[in-house]
Amino acid sequence: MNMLQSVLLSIPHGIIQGGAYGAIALGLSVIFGVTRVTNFAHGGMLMVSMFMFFELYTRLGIDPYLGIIVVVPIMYLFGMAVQKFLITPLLKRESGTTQDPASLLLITVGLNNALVNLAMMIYGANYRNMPTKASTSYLTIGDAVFVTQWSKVIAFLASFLLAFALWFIINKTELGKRIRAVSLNRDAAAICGVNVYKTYAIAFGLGIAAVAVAGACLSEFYFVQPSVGDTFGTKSFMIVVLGGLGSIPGALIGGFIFGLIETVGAQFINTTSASMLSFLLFMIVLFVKPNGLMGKN
Amino acid sequence: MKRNTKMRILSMALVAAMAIGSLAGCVSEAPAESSSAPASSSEAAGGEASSEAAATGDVSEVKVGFIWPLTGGSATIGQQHNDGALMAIDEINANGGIKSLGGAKIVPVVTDSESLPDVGATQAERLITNENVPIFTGCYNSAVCLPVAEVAERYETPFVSQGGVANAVTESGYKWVVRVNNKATYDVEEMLRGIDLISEENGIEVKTYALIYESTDWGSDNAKIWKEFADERGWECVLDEPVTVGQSDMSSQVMKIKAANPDVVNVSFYTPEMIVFSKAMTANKCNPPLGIWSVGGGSQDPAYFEAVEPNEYEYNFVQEDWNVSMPYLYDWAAELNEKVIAEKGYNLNSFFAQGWTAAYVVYQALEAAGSLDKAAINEAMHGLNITLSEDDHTILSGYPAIEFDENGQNIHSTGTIIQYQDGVQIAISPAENRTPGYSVICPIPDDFDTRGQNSKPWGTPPEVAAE
Repeated sequence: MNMLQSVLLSIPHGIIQGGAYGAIALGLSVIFGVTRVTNFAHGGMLMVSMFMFFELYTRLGIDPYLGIIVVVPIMYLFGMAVQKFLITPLLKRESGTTQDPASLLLITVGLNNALVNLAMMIYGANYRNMPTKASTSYLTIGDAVFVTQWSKVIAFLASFLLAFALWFIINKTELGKRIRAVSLNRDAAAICGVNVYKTYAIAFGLGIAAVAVAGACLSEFYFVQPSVGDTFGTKSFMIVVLGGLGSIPGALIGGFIFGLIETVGAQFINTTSASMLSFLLFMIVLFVKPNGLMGKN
Repeated sequence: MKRNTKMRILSMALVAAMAIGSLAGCVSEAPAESSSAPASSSEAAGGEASSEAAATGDVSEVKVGFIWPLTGGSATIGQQHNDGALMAIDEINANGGIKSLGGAKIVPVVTDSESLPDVGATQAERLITNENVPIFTGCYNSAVCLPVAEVAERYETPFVSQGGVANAVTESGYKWVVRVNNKATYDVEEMLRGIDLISEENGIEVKTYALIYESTDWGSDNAKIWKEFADERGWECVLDEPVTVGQSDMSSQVMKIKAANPDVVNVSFYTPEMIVFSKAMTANKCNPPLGIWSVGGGSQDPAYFEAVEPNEYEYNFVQEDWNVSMPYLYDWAAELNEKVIAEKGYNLNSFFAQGWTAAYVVYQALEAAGSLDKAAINEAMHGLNITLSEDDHTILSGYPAIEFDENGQNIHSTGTIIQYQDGVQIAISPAENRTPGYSVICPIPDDFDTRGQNSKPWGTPPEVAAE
């Protein structure tokens, strides 16, 4: 394999990896788009969903893809509860004024720390693996020219399905109308009879349900561990900001850009420098287009 | 009023949530698994305050500090070090404690570095100034051992550095620091001697190599020394790839390795990156003829073997920082192995053994000093001369002896190169340590479709025919 071949082959790897990043970032984007809350517990909630899939797999032999039927509704309710009992009281306190970003930020950071440490107490620090059919079988093209786990290909495809499902809910349903109304102007929506806080809770639940779907895909090719959210949490924020806060296609596009930079960039320079490129691009976008690539002014 | 009440309830809930978090952090600081639960700080003696008492033999307890990475990237490794250290302290206390101090019991004060240099340094300072420990040990990660050694030096407190193979730990002129285990130079020397041996036995000439490592003190030090020794042999470095920690996929790095086509690959990663790397190497069917050589780190961690499949580490070579044959060579090590399996659920391994040995070295220094005066302990620590035997349980790590040079480096620390064959660790190099009846599998076969199918569970001892 020469340099040109490795660069060309790194492109599909980057796109596939970017799909997984995008899937994780989608929920974060939905939550911010509607509630304007930056959920720093996103990584922690990803981790919680992955441990649920792990429990279903080890105790009942249920594959994470099938486990979505059980875990996603639970995570949806968990997300609603977080919004209702932790975030809404803070929003109500600031009712009529600007929101208090410090308290909202701190409450999600605190929740994340609590979730991570709770998992550490229950499960310890060990890395857990689920050797499912999809994670142990490979898509091979040519004589091992391009090889990747089927679970990664599925994660890539799932990111599109997830994005479409979220787009459909928000743009083509009655519930979506309420969500859009609240995200545009919560006071005006309230005057029109929309229960703003209930809508917030639904949107938060949707975002957490989306991250649970991403968790199912991720646990098919990555290990489960209490700190697993750290790896993807920060990256998700950067992807969402890059793609445009609140933009569903933006989250996917941001994911692809990050995936491509990491894999294609690493063919020319070392991995450490390639990671720096992602941060550099993030900073440039913040300066040149603060609303992100797909964000609205 | 109602809103205020709600806010109070919310605040209390948040405090409770944060408390859960803090509690989890505290769990790692409590020596919960040690039967010698710490008494109140006034009862446990340490430092200058109790030196007078120690001189008169009026000491019932001596606090000893431990700093391990109990959370963060090296958490599983730190937990095993801690298991080993606490079980050693239990045994020491059960056998009468520190006899030269009138049978004083050792009280472990365990702290968590979180795998972070700044946290480790803060914990060291806390152990010395708040807990008044007269001696302490830790911290596994080189990046943590280095600032902690600085703290030990500043407060003139003896420090037994465990892990932390970066040469600088014992080559920075520190007077209060010793290191029991290998330094990076010894590690790499052992690996390259192993490669020399294998290439000679199998008639395969090494021409090129690739280095892939995490961009920390440990990984960078290891890569730098590899280059020096490889240059001496005339090998060409075709890939030098530092990797930032926190990678979720390494397909791109593996493609670079495939493009560079090296004869041998050296990897230095802690557990999470090692898992990701191994999966990517197998997924991309990357098969260097002289194999993948690891200096330890993640590839010695039992947690790694729980997270990967047998085909993902089959044929790999690992420089183990202990003598893997200890449970088969010494009865006490065999008994301890059974106990560890029963109580901890894993086999004796490098990290447990080294945690154990570090705790024993601390005890030996206190025993030899017969005092809690830090200068006396330091002098005794540097003068230790212990030989591996059936009667002395200090050197579970299997080094032939412990004796420190003028820099505080143990001059007898050695390891063993092993190769995984059907999931079993087979000692390969040095030749005199080779597991009887086995030979090296080299060049590495291109059998990805069937690789690992007959593997035994990790930790299964090799079957050695009776002579």
